[in-house]
Amino acid sequence: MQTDQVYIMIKYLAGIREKTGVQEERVSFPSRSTLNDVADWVLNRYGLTVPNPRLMAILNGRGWGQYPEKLSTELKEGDTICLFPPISGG
Amino acid sequence: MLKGGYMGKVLRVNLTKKDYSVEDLKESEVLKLMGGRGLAAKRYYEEIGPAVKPFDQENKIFFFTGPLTGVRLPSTTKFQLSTKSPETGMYLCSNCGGDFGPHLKMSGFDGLIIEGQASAWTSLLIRDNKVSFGDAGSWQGLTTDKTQEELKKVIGEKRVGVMSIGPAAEKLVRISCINVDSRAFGRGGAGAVMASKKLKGIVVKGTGKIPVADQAKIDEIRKAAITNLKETRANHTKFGTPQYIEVINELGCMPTRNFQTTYFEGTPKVDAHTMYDQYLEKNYACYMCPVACGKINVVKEGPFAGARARTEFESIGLLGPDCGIDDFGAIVYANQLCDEYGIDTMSTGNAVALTMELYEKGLVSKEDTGGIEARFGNPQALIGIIRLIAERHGIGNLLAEGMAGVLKKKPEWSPYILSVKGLPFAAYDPRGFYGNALTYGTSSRGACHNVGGWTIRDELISGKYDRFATEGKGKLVKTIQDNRAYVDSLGICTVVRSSMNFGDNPTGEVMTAVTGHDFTPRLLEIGERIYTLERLILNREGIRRKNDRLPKRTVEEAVPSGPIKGRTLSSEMYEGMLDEYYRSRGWDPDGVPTEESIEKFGLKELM
Repeated sequence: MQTDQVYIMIKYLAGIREKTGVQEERVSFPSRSTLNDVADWVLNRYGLTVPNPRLMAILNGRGWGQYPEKLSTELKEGDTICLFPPISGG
Repeated sequence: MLKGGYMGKVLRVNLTKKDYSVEDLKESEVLKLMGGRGLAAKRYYEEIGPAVKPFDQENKIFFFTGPLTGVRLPSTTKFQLSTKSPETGMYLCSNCGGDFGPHLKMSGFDGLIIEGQASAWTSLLIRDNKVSFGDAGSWQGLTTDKTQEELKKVIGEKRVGVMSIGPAAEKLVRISCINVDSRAFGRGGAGAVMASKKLKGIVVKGTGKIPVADQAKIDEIRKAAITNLKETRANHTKFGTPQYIEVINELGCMPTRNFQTTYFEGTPKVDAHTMYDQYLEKNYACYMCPVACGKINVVKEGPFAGARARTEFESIGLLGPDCGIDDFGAIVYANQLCDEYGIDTMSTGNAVALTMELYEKGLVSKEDTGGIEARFGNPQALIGIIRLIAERHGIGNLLAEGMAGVLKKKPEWSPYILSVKGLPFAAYDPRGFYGNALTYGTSSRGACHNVGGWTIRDELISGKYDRFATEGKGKLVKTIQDNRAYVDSLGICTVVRSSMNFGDNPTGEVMTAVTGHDFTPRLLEIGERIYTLERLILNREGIRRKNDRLPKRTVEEAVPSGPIKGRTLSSEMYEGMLDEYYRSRGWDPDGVPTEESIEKFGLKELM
């Protein structure tokens, strides 16, 4: 049955958690929302700009920019988004 | 010689004769190979034949700085070594920070070559252009840090560059490091080469000035770079490389229980937040580094109270999750033991994890482990097996031979050994990033994430790549490897490179200000030349396509659980990437550079 909301998980990893104060949260968006809507939500709630060269944004294990629709990619129920600082090898 | 960046001299020390000489550095070789890794590879090519064994007195250690080492710019700390590796039996290049490289240069030398074998334990003192030898007989058995303290007492200075080996190297444990200040030439067992020469440590004090072409411009670049780093590297300053623990785990490529799976449920207990809140004592900075990413951690309570070590991502990943350990205190203590004995945390973590898997599968018994219950997640087993390796007791005597040695004696253990060319994996499971698999396969020193080319960022965010696909990975890995080879030859840390525009499209101002010569248009070409030279060395030592392949677990077993459950990389896919990689490099299908590519990089005339 189609619902009018999708629930996704947003995880704030490494130094980004300093800015959000939470490690992860389950967030609902109206169905047919996109990564653009997530970017707006994160900006309004935490003042974090996504996409941003100093913040890596991943949807289900792949960079937002790797999806054909880029920021217009529609959210699906159960999606996981991870936000973290740029990584460069250890 | 160029206007700046070079001292123009190389110090050659012969331990057999207790003698030394000074050679000129040629401008022609500098223009082709720049410094650091390039020059160390060239000297190795010229002086270490394929028949030379790691512990033969004919083996040598070549230390080379780069044109930026010691210059008053951020993190100009790096220098490089090459030698024949006791761990892999082939060419080894290794890169290290600390203060030694800058002091070597300020003492008047771009490079230091150690050759011969002393008849008794010896130390080497370099004070500006004066060289002397000391008796290190009474230091036998001392840990790396205590040896460094003794060296500082002998020279009577605290602000020096100092390197030492520990008790493990003295027993020729093939995964021994050379500890340099608070950093190390960690991988490949160079510490055991130093021990075979009966050289316990080197201290250098340089007070000279490093010439530069345009000091005013350098001052301007430094200020801008520091401002940039304070902003862009704030997370690195606060959390250091341990911040990657949480990220790599979430991406599903954290080595867990000897790479059997790739997601560690205990990560919150060993991640950067736990470290920062409960263990961090202070930061450590290499020479001239405003980032200060080193993290000195102290255990305040529990069974490992009092332990103190500088823990990095790789050490945590391989001594922690890969051994099933979720006790950060145990990881700090394990790290401290490795540092004191002078063994590589990465190869050690792999060796302990292997032992634990073999024990759980019934292939190793308590008789082998000296009574240790070697199960994953047992901190006492982690500590106990480290001691067995460093002291060459029980199964530790076999593990001390490195994975190449283990495979020779126990070929039936090959399904559980995660290494390429004898060098164990770094703390990324390549089934999570297929480019990383090629990195491990084609790195000039075995399964290394740095020399081999760290692809994860590109595979994760570039629109050109899919982390679980093979297309384009050959070219990607080649480009990153060439990039890294030139950075390893500059003398700066990779953490700060972007603040001075040393990326894929480097700009010329830093090199021109330091040397008076604009290397920049050819930096990637220099990197490619170095990589090709290293491959020629490896070819001469018998390395071909068959040696560039990955262990069975990586290409035959699907990841059983976690975010990338079900992922595997088949042999066919891997061979396809290898083909693309060789073509990108101008190598033949067996991994040998063609005459054309040797000609292209002017390598014939160099040799």
